[in-house]
Amino acid sequence: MGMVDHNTIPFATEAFGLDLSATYAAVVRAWRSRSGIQYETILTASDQAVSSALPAVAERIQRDTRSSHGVTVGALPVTQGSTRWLTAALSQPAKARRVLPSLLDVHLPFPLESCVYGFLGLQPTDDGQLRALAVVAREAAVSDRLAEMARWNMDPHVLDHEGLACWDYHQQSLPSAEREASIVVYLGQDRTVWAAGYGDRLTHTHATQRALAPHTEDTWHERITRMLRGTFSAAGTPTVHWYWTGPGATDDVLRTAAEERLQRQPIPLTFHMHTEPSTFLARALACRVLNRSPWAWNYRQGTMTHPEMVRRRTVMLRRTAWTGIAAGLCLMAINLGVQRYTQAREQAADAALAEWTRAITGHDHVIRGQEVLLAERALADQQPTWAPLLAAQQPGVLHEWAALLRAGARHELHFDVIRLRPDEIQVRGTAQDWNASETFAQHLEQQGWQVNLQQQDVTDTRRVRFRIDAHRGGTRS
Amino acid sequence: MKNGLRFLIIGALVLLATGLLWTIGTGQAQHAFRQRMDRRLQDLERLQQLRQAQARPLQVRAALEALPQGVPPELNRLLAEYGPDATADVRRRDTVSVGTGWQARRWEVHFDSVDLHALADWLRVLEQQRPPWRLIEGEWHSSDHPAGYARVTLILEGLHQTTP
Repeated sequence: MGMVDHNTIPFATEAFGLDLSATYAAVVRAWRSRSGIQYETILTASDQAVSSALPAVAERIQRDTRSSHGVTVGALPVTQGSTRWLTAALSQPAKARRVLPSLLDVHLPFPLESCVYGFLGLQPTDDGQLRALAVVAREAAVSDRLAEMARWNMDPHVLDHEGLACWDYHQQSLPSAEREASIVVYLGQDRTVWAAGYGDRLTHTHATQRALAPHTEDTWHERITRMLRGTFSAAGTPTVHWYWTGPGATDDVLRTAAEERLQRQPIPLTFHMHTEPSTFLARALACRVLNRSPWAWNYRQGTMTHPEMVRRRTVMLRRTAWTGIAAGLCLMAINLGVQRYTQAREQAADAALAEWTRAITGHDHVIRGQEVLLAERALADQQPTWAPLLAAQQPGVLHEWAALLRAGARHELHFDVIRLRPDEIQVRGTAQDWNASETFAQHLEQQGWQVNLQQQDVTDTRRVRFRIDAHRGGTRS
Repeated sequence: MKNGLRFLIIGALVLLATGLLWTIGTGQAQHAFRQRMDRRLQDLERLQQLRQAQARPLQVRAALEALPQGVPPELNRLLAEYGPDATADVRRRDTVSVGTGWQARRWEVHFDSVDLHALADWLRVLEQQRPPWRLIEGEWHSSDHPAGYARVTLILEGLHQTTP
């Protein structure tokens, strides 16, 4: 056996908590709802009624759990199991997990190999070490308990630890304040279970195979006083909150007498009682499985695992595997589709490129990836023959000449020489003044010409001689 | 765990891993694919631009070929009918091929002294011919001439169809 494996705590939507002993039986059905976990008490029976009532209940439970994700949860008495906090002087959880069994082995009076054990709540301590709560029981004790329950036609899927269940459910129902000392006392018909701790941390679980009854009172008080001193006195606890649960707690006379006598011992106690104490343990057992508490525990591990759990796990694994196969195949199909789609798009794009290139170049042979280059080369080759053809559609220089003459008349210029080419103008002449030829030059600049103006005064005519050389870029012929 | 279930799980893991790896590969390939497609689209756009540039001269040529005659009217005839009242010296210059079946023929026309208004009117008549005559160069010297007159040298170009 090994560390707690949550696979042994099955997923369940419905759980039957079984608080069973020879003299008392409480069976609670619990299920999830939107408002939380709901409970239904199926059976509470004492003494002779237990053996007569259980077969019918067992039949119903078997029927319900077979048809749904239901589980049955029983408990191993605390007297048959043990819990103990262990500290490993290691900071790495993986290493600590390997060391913890050896640490546990030291504390056991029987070989670890003959035990079912696990470690819950592995957590770092203030000084950097790791601690965990060891839960252990002899395999024989577990087998005996299973055999005992089988006599009542009960075969629980989960076999929990009574003390852990009481403490865990108590913390879920009435969470303790930090550092608050509390003790949950399950008062059974044939046993008493204590789970004590500070805040939400369980420190000790104890049990006695004695119920609180008038003829056992002295022994019971002696035992409980010893346990209280061992658990709380050393810590100097001011007040311990005492929570009664279990079927015995419903006996007001016995409980009040016990409280009065307990008040006489030195540790101050405040007494409380859980609601519906007689089904407390049954509810605790069912609740822990349904909400998959981190402190949940199942003694049925390894070869003692319930066959139904093995079957469900196999079914679950098979379903998961088929889901994985389906998902893998879906992914492959999608990828194949995407690949085909991208290939088709690329081919379509290549075909379009080739078609455009063929249309431009006039050649059938198109080198893939060279389409633009081929087309540009073809166009460059065709360009010289096109230029005159395109130029033939352009207006000649006649309009330039007409524009020059109009501008010259506006600025009262007299032209001696005009030379016109598509990209070049040369004008020589005379103007009334410097401003007139400059304005004419600016007019040409506004038309996009780069103008070079030269002017010179001529004294005999009192006019200004000018020369304009203008040109602009372009390839018009 | 039975062997069958073990093989099933191993098979599922292998298929799932293959699917996931393939998906990762496809995801990475998609990036390269998008880049290739972007490049192709850019190329396609460029080819369309080039095709448009190529289409323009083809349209021009088609328009020219649609004309009832493939040569412009003779310059001497136009000069005699619409030209200015001046002596002109008309000489043929160079010829440039402008694609299959067409030539641009250039002519030089020289006037020693010509009325510029009449010359401008004649040039406008030339431009209205189909195919048109086009003035591509000109030189005007007006000094030593009466107002409105000048010595003019013109280079005219006309498109001629060489094959029917």
